[in-house]
Amino acid sequence: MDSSTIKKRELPHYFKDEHQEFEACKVGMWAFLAQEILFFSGLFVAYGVYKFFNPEMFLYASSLLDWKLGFINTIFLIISSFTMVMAVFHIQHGERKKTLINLSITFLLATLFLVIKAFEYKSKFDHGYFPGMHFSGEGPFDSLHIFFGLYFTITGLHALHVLIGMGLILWLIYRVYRGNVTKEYFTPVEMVGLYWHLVDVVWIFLFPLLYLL
Amino acid sequence: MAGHFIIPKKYYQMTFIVLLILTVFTVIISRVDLGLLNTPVAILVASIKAGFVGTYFMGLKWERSNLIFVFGGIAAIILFFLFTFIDLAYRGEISTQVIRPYDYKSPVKIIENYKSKGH
Amino acid sequence: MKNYINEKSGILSWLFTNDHKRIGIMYLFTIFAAFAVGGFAALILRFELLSPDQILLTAKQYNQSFTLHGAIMVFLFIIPSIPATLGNIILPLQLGANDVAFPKLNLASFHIYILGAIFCIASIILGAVDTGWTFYTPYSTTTNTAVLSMVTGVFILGFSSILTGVNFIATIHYLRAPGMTWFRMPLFVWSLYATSIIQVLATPVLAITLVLLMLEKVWGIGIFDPAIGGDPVLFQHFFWFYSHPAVYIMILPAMGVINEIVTTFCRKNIFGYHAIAYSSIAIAIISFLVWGHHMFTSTSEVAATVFSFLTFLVAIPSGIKVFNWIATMYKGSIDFSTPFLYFIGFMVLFVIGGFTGIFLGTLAIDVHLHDTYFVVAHFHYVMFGGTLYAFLAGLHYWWPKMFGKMYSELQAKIAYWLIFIGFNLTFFIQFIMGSKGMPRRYYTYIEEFQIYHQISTVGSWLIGLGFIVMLYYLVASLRSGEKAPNNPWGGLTLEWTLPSPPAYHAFENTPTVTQGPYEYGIEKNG
Repeated sequence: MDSSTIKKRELPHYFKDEHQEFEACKVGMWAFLAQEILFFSGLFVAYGVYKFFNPEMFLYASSLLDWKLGFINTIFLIISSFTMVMAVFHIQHGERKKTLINLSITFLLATLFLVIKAFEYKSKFDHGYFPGMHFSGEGPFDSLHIFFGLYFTITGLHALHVLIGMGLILWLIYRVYRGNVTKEYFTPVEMVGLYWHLVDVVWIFLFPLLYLL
Repeated sequence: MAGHFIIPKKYYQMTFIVLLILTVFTVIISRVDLGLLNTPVAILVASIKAGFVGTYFMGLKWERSNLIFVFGGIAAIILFFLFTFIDLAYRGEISTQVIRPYDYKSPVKIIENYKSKGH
Repeated sequence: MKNYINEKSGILSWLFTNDHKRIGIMYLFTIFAAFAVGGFAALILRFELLSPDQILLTAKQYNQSFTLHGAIMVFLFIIPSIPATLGNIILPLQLGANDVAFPKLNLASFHIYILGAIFCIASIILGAVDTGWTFYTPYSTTTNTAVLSMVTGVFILGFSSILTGVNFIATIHYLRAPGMTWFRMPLFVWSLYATSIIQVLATPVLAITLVLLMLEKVWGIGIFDPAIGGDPVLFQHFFWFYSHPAVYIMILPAMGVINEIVTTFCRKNIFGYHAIAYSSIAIAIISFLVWGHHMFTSTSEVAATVFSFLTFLVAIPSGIKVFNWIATMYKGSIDFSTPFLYFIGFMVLFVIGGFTGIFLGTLAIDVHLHDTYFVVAHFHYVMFGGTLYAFLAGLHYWWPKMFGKMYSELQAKIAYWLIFIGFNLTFFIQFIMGSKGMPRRYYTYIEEFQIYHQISTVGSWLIGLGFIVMLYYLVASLRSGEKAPNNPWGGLTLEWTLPSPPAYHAFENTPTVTQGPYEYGIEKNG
């Protein structure tokens, strides 16, 4: 399937040229990302409030999390951000194969992230650290369930965003493979890339706050 | 898209290395107890990393106009934290000094030594 | 003549359209349906309040009625009202564009709205919520009414709002006609831009608040319920961080419409274009600083004092606008058609609402007036007398453009006066009631308040009657109204250069703009 057999993409009727479309899409995506930042901000505020009220409990609870797994996950996401941005780079140069490789590695790393998270969750469940009312963990603090409630909520919502990102990357792989996304029109790759970087940035903040402090 | 500016690979590679180094640094610095500065330092390092992702990976270095979304979001978050903590930090400070300009008998009883627990 | 309405037929061509005008019309019908449901809930609860004893609702059903009224009116009616209907249809036309930046996203916003509405309405059947539209914890996390259904619905509706905001920001940045600089845009566009900023930054906090509420209810996470270690005031911070800016999502587009009305019907350039544009952005920013004034009786005194001071600031840009509108009227050539009547009504009612907002922002007064009818009257003056009046003004102004038909001026004026008198009867008395101590959301009350409640209820009937008349003449207009010319009111913004109603592809040739939007020429001398 080479690009000469694919029809050139038709610009939507209300845009005057491709440049206007690309810039408009970028602004739209940034506005959406601003929204995502505020969405996670509520969780950070909740975290901050309860850490302020229970400093020793939080210190103890974060030691129960495995920082090495968190560290590996952070590295995975950072590498995936790099491969994502290289995917954008390659499609801008029309290098379809390299784009597909980079997108696939990004997808793979995201999967590994979720696998490690699944292992972490399982090990918490084994100790009885369930979210909310099912919490049955023992420890020196009787407010320990608050930390874990927040932990599962924050990492769970983040993982959900990773999952959504993975779906978007699969969709991109499909479109690049079919030739709908090319050097001339790579806007979708750029947009998913921006989203993916935000998912990475949220984790960059979560890792030290949850695991290391 | 003909003629569209493509960010040179070297910026991505440099950012990638910096991020890896800073992540290791994050772990190392967390081992050092800085007392009250622990949280601010962790957030500072994370912010620097996020700054690199935003500036280079997300292209903000070449797109100053989109910075407003980042700053807008950050400003809103700061406001959220600031005012919530103004409330939280000053909880439980019901004035024990009662000002009675007309010296009438108020039906309200002041509970002495009231300290809200907050948790 | 082919226009966007008759261009393609069949329900699917509407439900899956990408045309901003059709999407706006669909929103128009759904939000009016929501208004009818919310209005009906209001009539019922006011009816119950005719007597301190039970008439037809139990206390729990009364709580469910005011919750339904509040939640539906806020989330299903007012927040989407102007942006999703008038904004969707008119914004691109005023910019000289043929659609918004992301039409498919626009359609998605509409479908998301419908989905959210279904969840909200479903809650009525599943066990109508009785927490009040504010869903305060720990009652909302422990009550057995269908909080989850309603809250899921509101969560979904939030995304409809966010995506509309994203769409408008991109549209305003990039789809302006050549020559239309930022300061040549109609002020309605400025107001939608400021609204979109708030929609994008504030609504996600509501989203996370509702997610946390749902998790608390389902899993008992322990964030808001003190019995399990949580903090109920934290919920209030989270909730009001969105809900205060939300009221500016309601009023900013309304003020935007007012700019259009006052210039067209006074046949005069707006006084202080830059001041109004900047004050819109200022309101958007300051709106994030004041949420604690909903919590004066539950936050610490230090925080309350800070919030009280900041609340005074937010009135300043609104005041600037009001003065500019008055100055615009001065020596204008006034046309007292229905849209202008709604403008005058807006000026009176919004100013009363605004002043009483200052009273409530004053900490020492608010501790007495909090949770009384004074607050209820205040917000109805600004939301109904402000936003709804501006919405009706815009509806009557752009009706000929949207549908190509005129409506009966006489019937419109009858409806107007029924609503105006009814509204003041219903709500002015509530200021008095509230300052005398009648609490809000109370099912019963002491003898001395009964006469106030009865007057208020009679007022509500007049409002209902007024809207029935409005429904009648608007439907009559659609069926057999006089055909509308391109520019019945003599407006100068770009939408009036198009046929009424416009074609699907509205601007065959993109216009070039060479002057501001309200250049009505030299003002007459005397």
